[in-house]
Amino acid sequence: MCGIGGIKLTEPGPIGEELVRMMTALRHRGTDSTGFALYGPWREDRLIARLRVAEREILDATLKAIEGELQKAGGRFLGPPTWDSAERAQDAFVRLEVTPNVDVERVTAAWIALGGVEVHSFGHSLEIIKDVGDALTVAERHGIRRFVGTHGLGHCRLATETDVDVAHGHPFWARPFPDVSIVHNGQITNYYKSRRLLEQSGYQFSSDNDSELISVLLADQMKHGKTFEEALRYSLTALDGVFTYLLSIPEGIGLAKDRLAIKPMISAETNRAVVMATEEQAIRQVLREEINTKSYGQGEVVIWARQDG
Amino acid sequence: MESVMDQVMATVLDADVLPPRYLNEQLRELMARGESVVVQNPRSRHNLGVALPGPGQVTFKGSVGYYCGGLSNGGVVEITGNAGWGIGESMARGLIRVRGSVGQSVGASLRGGTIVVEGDAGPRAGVAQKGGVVVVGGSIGFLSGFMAQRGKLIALGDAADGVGDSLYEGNIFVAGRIHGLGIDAVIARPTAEEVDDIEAIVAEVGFPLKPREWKQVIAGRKLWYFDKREGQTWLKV
Amino acid sequence: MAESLNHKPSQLGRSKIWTPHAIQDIQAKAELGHYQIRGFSTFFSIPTLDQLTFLPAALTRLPLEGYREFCETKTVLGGGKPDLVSQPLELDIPIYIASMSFGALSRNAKVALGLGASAVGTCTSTGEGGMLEDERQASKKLIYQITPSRYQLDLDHLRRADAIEIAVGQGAKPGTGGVLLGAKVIDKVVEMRQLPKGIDQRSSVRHPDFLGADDMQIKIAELRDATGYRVPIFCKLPACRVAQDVKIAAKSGVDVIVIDGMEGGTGASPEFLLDHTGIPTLAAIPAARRALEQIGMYGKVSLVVSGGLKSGADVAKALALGADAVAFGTAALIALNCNAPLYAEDYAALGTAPGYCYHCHTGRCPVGVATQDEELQKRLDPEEAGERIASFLRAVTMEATMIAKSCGKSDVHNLEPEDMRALTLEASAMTGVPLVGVDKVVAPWD
Repeated sequence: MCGIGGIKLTEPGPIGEELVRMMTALRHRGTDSTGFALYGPWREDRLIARLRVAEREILDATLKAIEGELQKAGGRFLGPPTWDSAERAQDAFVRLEVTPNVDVERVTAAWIALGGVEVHSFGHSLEIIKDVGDALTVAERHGIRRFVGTHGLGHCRLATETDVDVAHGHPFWARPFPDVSIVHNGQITNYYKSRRLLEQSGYQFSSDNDSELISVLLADQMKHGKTFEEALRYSLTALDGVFTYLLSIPEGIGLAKDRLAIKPMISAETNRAVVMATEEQAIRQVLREEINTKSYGQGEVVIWARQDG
Repeated sequence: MESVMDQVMATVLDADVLPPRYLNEQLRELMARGESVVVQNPRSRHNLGVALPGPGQVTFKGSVGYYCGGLSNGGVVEITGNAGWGIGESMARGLIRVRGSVGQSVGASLRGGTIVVEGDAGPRAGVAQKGGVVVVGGSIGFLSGFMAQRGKLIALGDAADGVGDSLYEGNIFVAGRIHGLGIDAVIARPTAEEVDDIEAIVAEVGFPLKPREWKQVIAGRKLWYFDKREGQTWLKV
Repeated sequence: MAESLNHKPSQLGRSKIWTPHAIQDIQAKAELGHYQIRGFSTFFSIPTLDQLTFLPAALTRLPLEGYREFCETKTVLGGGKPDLVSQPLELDIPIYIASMSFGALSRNAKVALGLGASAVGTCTSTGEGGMLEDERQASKKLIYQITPSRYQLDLDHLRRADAIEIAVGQGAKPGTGGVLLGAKVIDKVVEMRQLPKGIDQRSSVRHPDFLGADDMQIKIAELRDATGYRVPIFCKLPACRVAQDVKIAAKSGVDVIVIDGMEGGTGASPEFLLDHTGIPTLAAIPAARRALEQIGMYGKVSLVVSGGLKSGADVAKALALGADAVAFGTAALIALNCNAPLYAEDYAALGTAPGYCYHCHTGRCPVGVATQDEELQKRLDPEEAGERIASFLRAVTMEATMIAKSCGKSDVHNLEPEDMRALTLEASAMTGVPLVGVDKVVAPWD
């Protein structure tokens, strides 16, 4: 169904390049879409937003409207918006830097309500870039290889129950929590029931993809006082179905595996990096030396935390 | 009748201070030990004095809301003001006295014990009564005694329309005017023995003895069985 | 020349209006001067859960091993308000025995139901008429039902119950009270209900001391207070204006809402009520769930569903549509022996036969289930019949969990409406479940 992976560097480095290599190695598991969650340098003084505008032709007008909504919420652009240079594409992928004190949920909802706008991420460090096509295609268009950061996630997708389009691609941002993201391999079988309960508490979802639900569910648990590890463990019984997922927060990456140990996950660690992926050969793209890999069993929870985090 | 409740030794609970849940818990504990309690400031709150045990006693100084004395299992309850609906509902044993008037359904489904209302009772007094005695010094309201199965409902004043509607084996005695009968209710003349019995009860609960013209309302029994002969009565149902 | 229609004897049989039953009903009324009364449920053809089917896992998701892997069935009812309910009702399976009165049923039937339910970790309900001591002993968990008649409402019984159910009505005959005909108002029934012997009892439909949802709220507070804030308060509603009734009940403070569909059974009812009142269980469940969602109480107030449910597939569908548990009434009686091929001559004496009997109202139940007659009652051995109940409930639970596992669920409560498709347009329109094949919900008024 999917290939997923993640990397955490001991020192900031070329996470974009390394995740592209990993996802290229996993492309046989899905080429419907590919996505990356990248944690660049932490900027306390701003939030970075990654958006997709469906109609490139009206990008200017859309950006004006986006700015308008931002201002209504008491925020403003910190510098001009930038976007990808694929001039023949129908859509446009926009990167914004905005004032950090805005109500993220309010602004997200307002931008989506404009129509033709998807909000892919919000964060002081996190940037999510995802698009249809395989890893090479997406990397090419969006300059992923140039990205430098501390840790990140990657995903290549074979669509199962929802559509093949960018909005349903992973990684998912745990809307509205900045800097939280997820990639997921599997299928949750109590998605609708769980989603309805979260909606009852006021959350809004950008897709009907079950992976998005997991990220919001966990972020909600952490908001209510659970630690990262407690939230991951909670998901083992709260979620039904098969899943192996990687949840990333500024402090690091967490793994949870379902109780029937259906979907694989392997990791390897050196002084330079810890790398985890659905298949070992993806890890080999990044850690070329022969090292011991570790695979994970049913109901396991692991956290790879940044030393300074 | 003089209240014997104004005793210096009574424990005082303040309903303005204690939420009903905790007031009731304390009240039950005290009454189970046989103590006397005074509750200040009831302010017509609902569900004060629910499921009270004997052998103690409590006076509510003021008015209470719904279900005061409901599900009572003993003890003596006095309410110096008025009371809301369902006073003493499903009571199994004990005594409840209301100095003022009560709302609807006093003694609903009463199983035993005695309820005395010195003022008037609202509609459906003694509804579904299954035992025990309800004595009302004033009038009883619309549809009083509805579907009463056993026990006695005694009104020293008038009975509003619909009294004794759909009666089973309940007994209703009215000294004042009966403004209208309920479906399948008929007026009968009580026997001398029955009158003595009623007057004894009335005196015992403290109403003055005076000459009264007692009417008894009993079931006509035409709604008791599905019977074609009573078809006309059934049409009124 | 063709034969004239006048000489064909079977022509009236073609009429769908003047059916043999319609003719019999008119003539009976002309004779009796009132409506016909009988037991069981509507015989009309109405939309049922059979119009839904499940979508087990194929390639998009993974099934669990139906014959091997574990699927949780534990069910908690009334756990949404811990400071008002310290002991929610915990059941091992999502099925319990519906409220059926001692009076309508024999003492042996009540005991058998209790023994069987206890053996599989679920509960029974007293039904109308108060708590029979034998039932309290046989049932490890017992719901106490408060009906408008308040027969034998006893504080001690309330305090010994594991849950309290306020009955607003039942699906078979909504808007009306209980019926127990004279032949069954004898002996212990008379003693418990304090009624004249042999009376044709028709209970009131309204409660004596609260007359709407606004005062029901005060009543619920009284019951909680009297029982020490321990047990959940249920409210049994007939399926009528489900969306509004459910919201009102939830807002009045009820912990568990029971919705009883029109195809629910009864020991005795005027027949016209069975056929022409209430709405089907199929339509009621999604309406109830949606109502709770709309007021943000889904998952906080438990939802139980009953009315014509009889198998594990029904249980799975009810849970998938949004119920937390289901109650079996008629199905449990049939498991006891109702309509079993025994004592055929006694069925014949009633004018019926095994497999065709609905004569609970007569009090002459040939298998001792729906009777007060001591001799007839002996035909139902509580221990043996209790085993049949336990076996039936186990089998039903196995059916439901197999369906859940085939859909990739390790807990029956994770079944969702999206696991199903509707086989007919009407089922899709009523439930919001997409139609098979096209995978779209049929909503003609959009």
